[in-house]
Amino acid sequence: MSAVAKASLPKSVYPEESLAVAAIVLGRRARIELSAKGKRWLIAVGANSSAASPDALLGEFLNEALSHARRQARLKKFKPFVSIIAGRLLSKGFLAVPADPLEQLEPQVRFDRNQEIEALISAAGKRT
Amino acid sequence: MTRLRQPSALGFAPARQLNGGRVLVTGPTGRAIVLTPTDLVDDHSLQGKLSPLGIYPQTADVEALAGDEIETGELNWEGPATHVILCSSHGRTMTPTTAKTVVDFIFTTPAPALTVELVDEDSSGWPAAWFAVSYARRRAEWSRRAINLNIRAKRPPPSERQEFLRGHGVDWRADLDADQAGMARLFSAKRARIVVGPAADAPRDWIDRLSAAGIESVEWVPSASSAASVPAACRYGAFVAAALDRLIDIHETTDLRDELATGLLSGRPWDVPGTDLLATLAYAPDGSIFTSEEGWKLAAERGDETLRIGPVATLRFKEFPAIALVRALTTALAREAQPLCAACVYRPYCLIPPSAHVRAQGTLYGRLPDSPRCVAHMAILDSIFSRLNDEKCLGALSKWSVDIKRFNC
Repeated sequence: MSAVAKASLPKSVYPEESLAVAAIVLGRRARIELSAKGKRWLIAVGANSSAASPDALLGEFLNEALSHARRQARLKKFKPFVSIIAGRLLSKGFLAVPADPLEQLEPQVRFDRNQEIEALISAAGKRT
Repeated sequence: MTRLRQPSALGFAPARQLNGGRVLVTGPTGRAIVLTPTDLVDDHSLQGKLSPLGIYPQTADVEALAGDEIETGELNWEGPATHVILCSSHGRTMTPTTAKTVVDFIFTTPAPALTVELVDEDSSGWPAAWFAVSYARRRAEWSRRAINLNIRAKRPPPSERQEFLRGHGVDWRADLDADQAGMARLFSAKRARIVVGPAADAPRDWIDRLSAAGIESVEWVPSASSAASVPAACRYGAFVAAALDRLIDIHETTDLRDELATGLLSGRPWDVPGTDLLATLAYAPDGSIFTSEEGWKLAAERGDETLRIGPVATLRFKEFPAIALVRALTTALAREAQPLCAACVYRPYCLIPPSAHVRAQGTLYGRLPDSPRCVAHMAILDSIFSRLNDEKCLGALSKWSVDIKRFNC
């Protein structure tokens, strides 16, 4: 790597998963090297274009990693609560409206409506 | 007023210092109180004032708090109510056949009242818009469902289109740009969506002009640059806060209301305009479903399809929970799961659409300490809560159907 910004981080604060997520967020803007020495991570961040400085990218990387780590800790603490909300939303929130019983019971109704729709599509094509 | 970089806490309840040494405290369900410096030195009086907020377990009115939670919680959600059909957008055009598939899909979603907003940026989408209006009206009659139709346009449609739209009960929503000085393009719309960029100026004049034009609701939308950086978001927040301040001052003489402010104050995530999935879905010209119009813009402008749910032609609404993006959104939308939101005094009201986080910071969750939208929402909510002891403010909130019983100043 050419110009790089480096940091040494405690593993107790920055889980590996959080570093991976932060790397994904920076995406192609940065080149990131990760190694470990004892209880610390060694990070080197380089910029892939001149639009961003390695220091700024390292700062964003650390912000994102820390934010992810805190969010995971928060989620773990509030898992029962969030699970209830998210679970209820996913299990009961996406109920589709039943099909029109009139169309189901009366084939003629369905036929008439389809004809009307086709006429509308045809008329729409002539609009300018 | 300067924004505190990190919400301060008064013991176990989130609090925020307002001007004049006053302190805003909120309870877990959005009950709020503004304390004066005198209140803060008298422990006995302080406990009495804070009790109704529900922050002392032994004195909490559990039934009332549960009622608040049910009213505003996501358990009460009934499906996205606003559906944005992008008939023409970013140089792409929808066909009438795709519009039919989109309208059919919209009518499978369960919200009791549907709002369909048609966007026809360059007029090439008029055949799809014409069909969507005609067909949605018929579908609403067949299914006996309530539907509001509106078309968003930068300029008045030609007279023959106006006649058709009027005949089908379609409202016009003026799509304006606050960076451009002239407001001459305001036409007989009931609602306005105004993009606020770095050059936007004179917010109080905007309110006066919108009121004089008979506009009933305004939504201030940050421009792409205002949504992407904190300094630009500060200017956007200051603009909207100043506009809101003027609107509160003149609320007795105008029917105008601010959609974002009232949406935030309702405490219901699905009332905050643009909230992905909960408040809105957007349908791209090619028939892709996006979590919001902002989600589509990210795809159209950057090729970032993070917020594309899938194709309307084959996807069913009831299949949404199986989609990874939808499952991730439900967690991202849970304010309790955000580390700093949890300690913020505005947590019961504020909600940042995940698409705003994706644009500014690249993830559904965002990073609150340097989130541009967080800065803007803080400014907007500060402008209201710092006037909570002002009769004009309470009068305005009441007029906009905000439940002011929760605010005990």
